[in-house]
Amino acid sequence: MFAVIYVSDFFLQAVLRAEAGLEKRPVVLIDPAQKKPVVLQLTAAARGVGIAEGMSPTQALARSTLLQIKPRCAAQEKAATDALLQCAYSFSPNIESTASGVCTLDLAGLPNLQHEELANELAQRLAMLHLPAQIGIGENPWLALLAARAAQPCCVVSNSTEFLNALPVESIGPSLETFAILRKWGIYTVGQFVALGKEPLSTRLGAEALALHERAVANSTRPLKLVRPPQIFEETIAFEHEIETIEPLLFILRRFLEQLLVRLEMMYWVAQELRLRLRFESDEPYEKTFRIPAPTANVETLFRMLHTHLETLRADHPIVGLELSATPGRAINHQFGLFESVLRDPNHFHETLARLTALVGAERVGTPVNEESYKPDAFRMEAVRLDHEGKSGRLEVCDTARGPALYRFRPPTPARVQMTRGQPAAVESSVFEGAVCDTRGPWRASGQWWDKEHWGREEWDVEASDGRLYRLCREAKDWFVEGVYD
Amino acid sequence: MGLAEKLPARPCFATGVAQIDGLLQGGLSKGVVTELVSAQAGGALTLRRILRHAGEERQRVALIDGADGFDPADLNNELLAGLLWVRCTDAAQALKAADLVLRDGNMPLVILDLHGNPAKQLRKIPGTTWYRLQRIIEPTPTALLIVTPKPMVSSAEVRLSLANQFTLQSWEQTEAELVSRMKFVLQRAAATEVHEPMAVEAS
Repeated sequence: MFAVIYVSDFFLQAVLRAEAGLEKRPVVLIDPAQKKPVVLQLTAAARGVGIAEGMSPTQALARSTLLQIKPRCAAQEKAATDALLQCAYSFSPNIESTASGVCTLDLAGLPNLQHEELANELAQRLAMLHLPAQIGIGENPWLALLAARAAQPCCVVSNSTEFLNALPVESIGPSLETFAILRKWGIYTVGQFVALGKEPLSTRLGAEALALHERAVANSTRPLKLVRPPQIFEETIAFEHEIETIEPLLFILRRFLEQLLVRLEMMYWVAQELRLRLRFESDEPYEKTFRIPAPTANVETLFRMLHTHLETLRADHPIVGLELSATPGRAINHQFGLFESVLRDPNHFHETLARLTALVGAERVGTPVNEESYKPDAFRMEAVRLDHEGKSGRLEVCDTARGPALYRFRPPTPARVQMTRGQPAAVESSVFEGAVCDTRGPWRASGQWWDKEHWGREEWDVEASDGRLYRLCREAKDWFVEGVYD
Repeated sequence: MGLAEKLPARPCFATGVAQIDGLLQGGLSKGVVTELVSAQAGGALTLRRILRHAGEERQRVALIDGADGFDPADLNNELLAGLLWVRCTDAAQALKAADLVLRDGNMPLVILDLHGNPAKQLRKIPGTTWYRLQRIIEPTPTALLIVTPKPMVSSAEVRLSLANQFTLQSWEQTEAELVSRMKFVLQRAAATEVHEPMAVEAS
């Protein structure tokens, strides 16, 4: 048995699926590559107001002021084809990309299959991808295609002769000339055509009639040209009107994300990475890759990630195009241990880090890493590692720290220091003002004398009259209170 | 030792500071706000000790640094590997950051260090803020330690105060020795005020 997925007006459907509710409005599709573009495909609402294929856009607009004219988009057609094939592949490993919007599945070897259920499920999954499809199931690919074209939305052919006899003769694709002759003869259905007999038909109508008869009896099968669906998960849209605020962008992004995740789930994948590309009016490209700490197919988690980022995005020009793609990956399953410190929700943590970055700045959030330098306060901030828990067991580190901890003033507070016999005797600064009771020092240090970043300093630890310990430092001739020992 | 003694009823985060773990019967309770009042000195040293212990145990800790005063130089990079350090410019920003980190719920311990912030900033914190933080962490497996220069966290179920002073001779002692000599006083314990403060000094 074979199944055929048939998406009528496929090019139009590829465009309509990007925007919600568009299929109910009068929309026509034109090909801007044509010299004189005409209406190629149209929605039922457009047909309802008197628009037909072949009309010029002006003629179509004259029939409805609400009409939307959409251009064909190769990227959207490719995305829809990929989605169609991926959906088909989730039902059968043997699939053929028969034509644009037509996919044939070989159902041989599928166990205990209820064909009606399969057809309904196929139609439902394609509806989740916003592709309204007709499903036909028959003994051979041609019969299945005829069934799909006639389906509303599913048709399973159990008695092929009965089914074919009732079909209109044009469904087997006669040429216009042959069709006119058949009409003159009073032949309206395939059954009437077959009843004429193969030999009399070939004698009177020639070679074409033989081919038509072959199709009309539909008793021959053919091998499928098998394809594998591409591992590309991408959705794209070019906006008719420029986007200046976040809300419409989020609306489309969520729709895209849902579709991508349905496609990934059908192939038993989850999203490992998301790539967002924006096209601005100035043709300036913008690309941002979101690495997902714990690959997931959860729409809310991934949408929050995109939302958080877009909230902080500022651009000089409005957005005219959007592209969202997902890299597939395997889900990581982790069983939480009783005494483990594993991140419970790495994706939420990643999002929290993004929010913290937006709040305090990228250089002020992270894990500090001390630099290999004697220069005081020399550290850099690194991104928080999510694999910290990978190691287990207690970390044995030699504890050599002595004395109280320094609580730094960043930047160091300028001070005026009065020296007596080469030692600080009094300090005047915004953090402390008064006499110095006791001192330790000086400790002199310098470094990087070989480049412009050279530094040299003198440090003193002082016990002030307020009972607290401060660190003073002198760089060149300037004194600073660097921190308090706390 | 029975199971009830071995495993405290409320899960807690061991700080590695013997006095705190002793007073709080195991460490900082999760889902509870603990306030450490460090009026004089010792707050930064206590934090360093807690971070060292968490690093040794490979535990994650978030340090919301209200005045960007933490000095990582005394801890080596391996110990710092599990630290999320948020360097804030003022107390208001620190509270916003704490709100985000607590809502995340991934960190077993969140330290909100406000003891270096000017009194003017701390006075501007509305009293309801502390209750909001308490409500956030109540259902989470996170312990929240707020270090302040004076008692101010009205929603703190546990309040410890630290009375300590260092001298220049303190450099003769190791960090462990210094911490063991510090005096912590339990002023408020879960749901009940402690009328006679309990003080613990490590033996």
